[in-house]
Amino acid sequence: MTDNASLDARIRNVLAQHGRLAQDAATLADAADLYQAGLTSHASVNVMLALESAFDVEFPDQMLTRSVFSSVAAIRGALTQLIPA
Amino acid sequence: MSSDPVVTPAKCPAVLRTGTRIGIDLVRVDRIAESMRAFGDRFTRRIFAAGELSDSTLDGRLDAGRLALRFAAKEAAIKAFDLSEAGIGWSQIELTGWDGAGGRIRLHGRAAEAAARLGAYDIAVASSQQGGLACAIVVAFPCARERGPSAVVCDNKKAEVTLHD
Repeated sequence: MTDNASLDARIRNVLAQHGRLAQDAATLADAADLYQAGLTSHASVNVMLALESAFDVEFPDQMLTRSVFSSVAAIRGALTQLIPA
Repeated sequence: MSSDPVVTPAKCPAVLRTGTRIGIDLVRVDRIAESMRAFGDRFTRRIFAAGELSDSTLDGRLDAGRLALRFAAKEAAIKAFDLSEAGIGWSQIELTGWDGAGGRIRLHGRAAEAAARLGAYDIAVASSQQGGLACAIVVAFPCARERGPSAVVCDNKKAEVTLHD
């Protein structure tokens, strides 16, 4: 499993546990709109906190935007900025 | 008999031709309680200002219903002022002085700056809680008076917004 694949799997696991999506997080397209899939503003808070725990990072305020949590790809992009290389 | 169709002037955010801005949010109280159980202080301290936590404490314990009402008010303000891409922490939007009928929303930091760029507004916040749901509506009316970003922009007794640097 590549690093990206591992990252994706962990993101999707967090979404499955905390996103309360109407669709299966494991099979969502990378760019699928999570809000269209049922993510609420409150659930996005839970997803953010769970991602912070899972990856031992902290989202700074400037990254707390709707678009950062809008898709698996967007979350991955944000996390790659936060996870030390 | 025919009549002209009624068309809303804007899709999102909800802004009328007069410049009036509207935001609404609905929150399940049990979901807030779940977040409190799952994430504890990380959830409450990340989302709520110290004053909100104090105002939401009953008999020494945080009350999920009160927090749900405040969360709904924050989200309603985010929608009214189109702040979803502003990159602000939730605690920068604070509901204060809630007496069951009205209160004040105080914006801090980047939230205050982003809202101030839109101009001065008279802002009302209303909320309701029933059946395990908390709902809040924020309505912001353009204010003709020239006021700075730190000024109180609403004279309404029940609903007042103060922008803080």
